[in-house]
Amino acid sequence: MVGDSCVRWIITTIPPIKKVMDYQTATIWGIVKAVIWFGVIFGILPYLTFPKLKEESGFKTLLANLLLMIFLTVLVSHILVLLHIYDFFSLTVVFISIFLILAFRKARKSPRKGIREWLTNLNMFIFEASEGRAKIGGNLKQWLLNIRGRIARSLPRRTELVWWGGLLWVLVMSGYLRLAPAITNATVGPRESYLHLFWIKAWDMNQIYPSGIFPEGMHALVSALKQVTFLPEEILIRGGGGLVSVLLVFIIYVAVRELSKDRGAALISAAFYGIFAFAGFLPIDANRQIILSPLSTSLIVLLPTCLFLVDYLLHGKRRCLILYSVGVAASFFIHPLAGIVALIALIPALACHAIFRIALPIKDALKLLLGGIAAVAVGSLFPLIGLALDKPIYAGKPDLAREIFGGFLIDHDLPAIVSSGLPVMLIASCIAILLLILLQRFSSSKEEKFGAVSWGLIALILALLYSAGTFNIPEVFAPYSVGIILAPVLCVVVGLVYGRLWSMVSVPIKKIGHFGDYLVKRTQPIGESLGNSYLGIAVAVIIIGAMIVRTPEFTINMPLQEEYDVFAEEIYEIDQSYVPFTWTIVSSDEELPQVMGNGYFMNTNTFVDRYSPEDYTAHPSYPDLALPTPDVFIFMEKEVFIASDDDRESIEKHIVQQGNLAEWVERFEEKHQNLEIRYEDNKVKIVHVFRTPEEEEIFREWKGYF
Amino acid sequence: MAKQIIIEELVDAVIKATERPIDEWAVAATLESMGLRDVDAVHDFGKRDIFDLASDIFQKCLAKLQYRSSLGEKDEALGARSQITSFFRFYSSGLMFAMPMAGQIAMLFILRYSLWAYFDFTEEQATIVALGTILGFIVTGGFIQVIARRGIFYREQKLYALVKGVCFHITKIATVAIFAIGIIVYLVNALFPFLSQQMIIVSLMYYVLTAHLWISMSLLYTLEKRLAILIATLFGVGVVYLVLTMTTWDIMPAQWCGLLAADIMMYAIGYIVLHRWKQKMEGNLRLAKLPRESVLVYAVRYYFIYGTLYFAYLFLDRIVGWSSSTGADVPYLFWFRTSYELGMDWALFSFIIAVGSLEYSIRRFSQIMIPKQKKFLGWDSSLHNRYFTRFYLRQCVLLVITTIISITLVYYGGICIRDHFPDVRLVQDFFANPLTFTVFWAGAAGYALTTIGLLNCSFFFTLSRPTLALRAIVPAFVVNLIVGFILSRAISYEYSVYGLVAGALVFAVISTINGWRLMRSLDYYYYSAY
Repeated sequence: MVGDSCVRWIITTIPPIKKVMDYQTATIWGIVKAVIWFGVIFGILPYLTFPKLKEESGFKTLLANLLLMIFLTVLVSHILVLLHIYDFFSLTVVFISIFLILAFRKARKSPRKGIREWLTNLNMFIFEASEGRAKIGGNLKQWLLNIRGRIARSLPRRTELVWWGGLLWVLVMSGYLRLAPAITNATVGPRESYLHLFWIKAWDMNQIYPSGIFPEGMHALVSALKQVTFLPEEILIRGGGGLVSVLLVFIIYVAVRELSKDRGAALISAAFYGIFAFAGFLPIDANRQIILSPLSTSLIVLLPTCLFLVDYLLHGKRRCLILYSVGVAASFFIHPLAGIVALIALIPALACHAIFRIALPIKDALKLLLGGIAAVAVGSLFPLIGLALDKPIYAGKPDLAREIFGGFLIDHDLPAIVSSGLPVMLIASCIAILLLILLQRFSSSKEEKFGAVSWGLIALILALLYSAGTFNIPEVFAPYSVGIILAPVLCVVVGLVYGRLWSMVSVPIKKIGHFGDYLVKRTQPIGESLGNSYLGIAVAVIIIGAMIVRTPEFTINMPLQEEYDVFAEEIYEIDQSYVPFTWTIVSSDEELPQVMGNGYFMNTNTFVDRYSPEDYTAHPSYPDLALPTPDVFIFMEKEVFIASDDDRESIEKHIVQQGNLAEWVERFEEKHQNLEIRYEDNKVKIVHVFRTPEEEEIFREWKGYF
Repeated sequence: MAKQIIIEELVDAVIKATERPIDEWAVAATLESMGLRDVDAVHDFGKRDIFDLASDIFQKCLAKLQYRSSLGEKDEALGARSQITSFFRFYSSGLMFAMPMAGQIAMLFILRYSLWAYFDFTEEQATIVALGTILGFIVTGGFIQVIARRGIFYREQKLYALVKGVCFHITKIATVAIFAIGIIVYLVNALFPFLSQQMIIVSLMYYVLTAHLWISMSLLYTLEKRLAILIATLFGVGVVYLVLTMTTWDIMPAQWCGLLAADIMMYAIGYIVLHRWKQKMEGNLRLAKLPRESVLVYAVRYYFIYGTLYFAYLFLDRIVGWSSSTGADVPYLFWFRTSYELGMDWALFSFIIAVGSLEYSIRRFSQIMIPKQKKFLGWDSSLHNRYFTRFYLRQCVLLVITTIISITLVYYGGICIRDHFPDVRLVQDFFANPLTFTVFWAGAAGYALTTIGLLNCSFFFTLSRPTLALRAIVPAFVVNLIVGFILSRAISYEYSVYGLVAGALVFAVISTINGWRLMRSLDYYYYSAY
């Protein structure tokens, strides 16, 4: 029958309920999707709608918009969660409203007038179209031609393409180094990542501070991205660390480029952080950048905040003050240490004022003070609300107080983390700042001098805080955490030193460049000369190449796993293959955050204690006999997984638990037929318990018509 | 005598031309326009001049009009006595609306399936089907309103060629819109994957087919072929039955076939009827042409917006409730909630029963509007308006009484079925969840308030004032959305029904204020309506 085959064709060509993508492909696709959506929400849409200053460079506008969007997203998410109305719809409506209001304001129209105008245009279009006068195809063609023209006009020139290529290479390399382990490993990461995953999923369910008060700015951001991308949180958290680092590399590039006006310097500082962080030059464990943490996330806010602080002190622009205040508040939202550092940055920046004898009007100083106070108030608002709601302060790991203060406020007997050896970073920072101050003599731009010295002083203060233990001075802040902040600041300073040096030696090179221009019959301004550009990038590439050659072998590993990779992989596949909330996973607690929001979870011990393998029968009238979902997956460890922080006692408990589970499954197999092995290797075994046809019939009967 | 007869003819001619002459001068002008001169007034009627004749005729006109008016009162007195009969006649005619739905429900209970429902659908399948059908309603709501408005407008003038032209022209545009929006929804789902690929495709199949079902139904409704709608929908179920019994196909492809068959049948009936009507047209009526498209768009744009918003408003509580995860684990962004839907469906019966009385109110209004207006003199406009204000209040009271009776009947009807058939599985399951009762009461309250809004909107549409309807439905929609959204997230998903209650309250209050104002100045609104 033709009809029959037609319907069969339709049904067979429709993809199955969920096409299961393997988790590596899903992760790559997820990362690409996350980057695109992040670019749209935090880059393109704000660029089109947010106000900007004419004299502001495109890069600076990008950073300003990023700051504003992060602040708004975190603030709005917190409010929506507190009101219990946080979800895809509310978030989308708020985002659209913000963008529309700002777009109308940018066009100098009130939203009401703007909407009315838009509706009038729509009306006109419909009337014209009904008269056959609106040529939709023609209009579309014209629009596409306009877009093409705009793109063609904004396309970089040949020399710029080389620079852009260089930046792209640095970004791709930085991304590869940090994202490769996230793609090849299915596990979420160390123990704290599971906690963050749990908090993000709780955030999706409108729960604030589920385990106690802890800044949830990062969780709000990831959750917002999850709402619009519909990606599993596991993928976002695994890829998030790498993506945040790549964004930070880009921010370092922009900061150095803005401060030194030298693209070579910007590229070198970006490469320094993006690639050579793995060579052990910087005061951080680069492998930790693979995982997503609030402190590393806060850096994407902190660096632009410092940039706008310096700008404000130099030009006294209101916008810069607002951006600094917004940045401080956003830093407090994500990690208080970043907020504190953003406030501490005021000290060197103000000192720089004194050095360069720039008078700071009392009015501006007052505004700065008020802005800072307001930012701290806003930044601490939600933890205070949490306290008012009777939520306890989170006391487990990651320990926020220890992350900020190390042992200073908590336990004075704790040994300092950096307690021996030369304070390398301090010395490096001192040399850098000295060089910067000395070299500024050759700079004619006050703006450049001020910016460079301010950043040098910020690096110096951070280096002092980082190395305090070496001089037996009390470590006010945890060196490990300060090191994470110091690393990108140091890279900015390195870039600035290089930029100054390059500007000194490039004068004769510029002349050679002009000679080259003459040869190829091109006339360009001095700074943009073709030869100069090629030489600049050549020098940058040589330096980066030399660093690669001198760098010890990279060691990129997924830091600390808490479970077998195959478990995370299988949970992903189960989630993709079965209708949500129709399955239960029986396993150890690591699986709980991964199962949350998709299916049900039961701890192995509870399962073994609660259900008898002989009597295990799914029946609606006897809910105590079996788990209620149609499919149950039991995760067994033949060889018990030992995490790095597992102690002897917990390992022994785990062994006993797995033994009991194996015995339970064995006894079940003897009595029942409704069990199949879903996965097995020499370390793990996953069994699938499903309902028998008789059980299924009983449930269907019980469920009734509705 | 002959002169007297001619004068009587002139009186009739003047009344025909002016309906109610304002003064003697107007009569003189009318007589002159008929070709009468001073010399005719002198020679034929023995008057001084045409003004003398006009004065005489004006007096006769007033006397005749007064006499006719007294006859009219007698007619109305007779009408008052027959009001109950006319109420039941129009009310039952209004209830005919529900016949296709009643037929589908009957089929559901007999065969366990209808054109788009099935007792054994899983919640996942029910979600897919419900989303498709709701989208169909919302997308076609505007077109349905426009087809009915313009179709009936031309039908009443017996311009059948134009009825055919406008109905099929709008059907074509609607078809393009249905497919375009289907593609947009598919692309949006690709961007924000709230449903899996298979789910969205199946959902869109239901959407396209049911959307055409609503459009073709509106076509037959415009042609007043209500029985044909019932037959076609039952025929569709017959096709589902045949497919299920004669092939190995599943319920969903069978329902697609049934929907397709019903669509084709209704379009075919519509086409044949219109073609025949067109053939019967005579004389100059055949030459009538549709206005330019831009004029048509201008004339119907507010009706279109109202139609779309009305259906969106009607289903908003479900969309809001089904997309909330508060109070239950939901696998997808939208998830069908059976107990909630049962409560709303139960309440819907009361709505349908109450809506029947709107037919009476609006037909009665149309029936008495012209005779009543003729009864009042130009300077008695306040009396005229007062009369209609009272008429309006009577209709409101009638609707409230009908609504209360319908809710009571539907509730106790349900309880009666539950108590008398406790062993029937279907009945047991229907009333199993207490949530169904909560939703029923809130839904019934929401629908009751909605009927008041609908009554007012019917008056607005009769007097060509669609903006007054829009001014009520837009805030109602917004309030429905905001209240439903907040409550469904902050408390539990089923609280979205209170969004409907709040929105319906706004709809009822704003439209009643507008309706009251309209009736208070009805002379102006009637004058400017056509």
